[in-house]
Amino acid sequence: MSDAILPELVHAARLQHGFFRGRFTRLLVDALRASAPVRAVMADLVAGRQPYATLRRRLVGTFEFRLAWQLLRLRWQ
Amino acid sequence: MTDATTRFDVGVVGAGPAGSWAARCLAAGGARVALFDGSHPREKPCGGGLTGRALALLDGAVEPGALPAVPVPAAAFEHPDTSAARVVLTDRGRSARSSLLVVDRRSFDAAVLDAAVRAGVTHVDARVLDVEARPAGFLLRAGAAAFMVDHLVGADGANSLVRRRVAAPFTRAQLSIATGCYAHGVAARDILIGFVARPAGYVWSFPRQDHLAIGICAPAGESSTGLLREALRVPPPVMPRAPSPHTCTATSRDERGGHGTPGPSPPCEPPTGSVPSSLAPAGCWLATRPGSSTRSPVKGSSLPCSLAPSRPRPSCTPTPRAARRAATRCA
Repeated sequence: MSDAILPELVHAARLQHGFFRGRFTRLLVDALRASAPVRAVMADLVAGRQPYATLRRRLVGTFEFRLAWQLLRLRWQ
Repeated sequence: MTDATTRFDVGVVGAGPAGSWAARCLAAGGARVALFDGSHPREKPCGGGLTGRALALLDGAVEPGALPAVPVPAAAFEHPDTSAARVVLTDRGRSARSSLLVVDRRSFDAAVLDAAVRAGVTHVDARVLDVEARPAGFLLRAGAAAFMVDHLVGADGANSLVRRRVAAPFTRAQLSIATGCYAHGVAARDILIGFVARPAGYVWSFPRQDHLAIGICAPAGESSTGLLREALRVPPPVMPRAPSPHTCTATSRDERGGHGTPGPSPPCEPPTGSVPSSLAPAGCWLATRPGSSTRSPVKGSSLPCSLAPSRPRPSCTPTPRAARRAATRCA
């Protein structure tokens, strides 16, 4: 069980630091509203069926390039 | 040489879900386990969301169908600068095939604790007062008794006595803090997550069987309990009286937690203000009774509300837009 849970907690702790910045949370809500594939990822995340370890890969797989570009711009700012 | 009266292979301090489940797994593996906690099961406004994955882990030990759980069909996400998004979840009733169930903590904690006891765990219904590392293990003083254990598991929250005695306390930067309340007389099915800018965190509303669990959470390093209360904007407490059909009621509770781990409730002062729109699905105001006992039923503090339903609704659809309209009319 620790093999499954510990890496998840480490990932979550790493993500938590920047997660609650206003611009990021706004982008998140915009993305959820605009994109069905992103909503599907979030649904699995809420259900605990989407590990944090593969979250980035799955989000890239949604091919939401406009959102990805906005996210990159956010990180540069 | 020890003054302990009883010896166990493992001592687990804290009988919340994490502690009880750890104790249950260890006992199922053949260890002699003592689980120390004098306060569980208890009610609290946070930590009642059970994901499908968590339910699958509990399979065979805790029966979701036997819990007073609410399957959640959707999650709404709000941000003050943009319109809300709704994410549809899988609702297969009270089963592990659902995405998310919300339970009241007293029932869930009791179920996991029962599972631990059924697996052979000895529940010591007393608060651990001291922990001491010794060459032969750890000495725990709980109530009037002393126990010697070979191994020690600390599941006793953000202010963990085990951690303070054996390692070092959490730093503030490692913790999140939260404050919350119970809203009676209103019902909903969706969960609501509303991001807030100051403090940078989120407010939540989780539907339970007979009330909503509402709260706010933010990194402790960037916030304080006072700031959280201000952001949640719950009105001050009023004199207790019996709830009428035209009232909704709530009580509040503060939590501190590390990585989502709840801790003991610090002293609490009356919060002031109003409930954010997303947290008022019936458009009503909430009264609070800060620092309420979690062992007694949540009732007593109440405040008239012109827009509250004439009787508790079995369900309503708390879309953020509808909630905002209702709250505006109420104001």
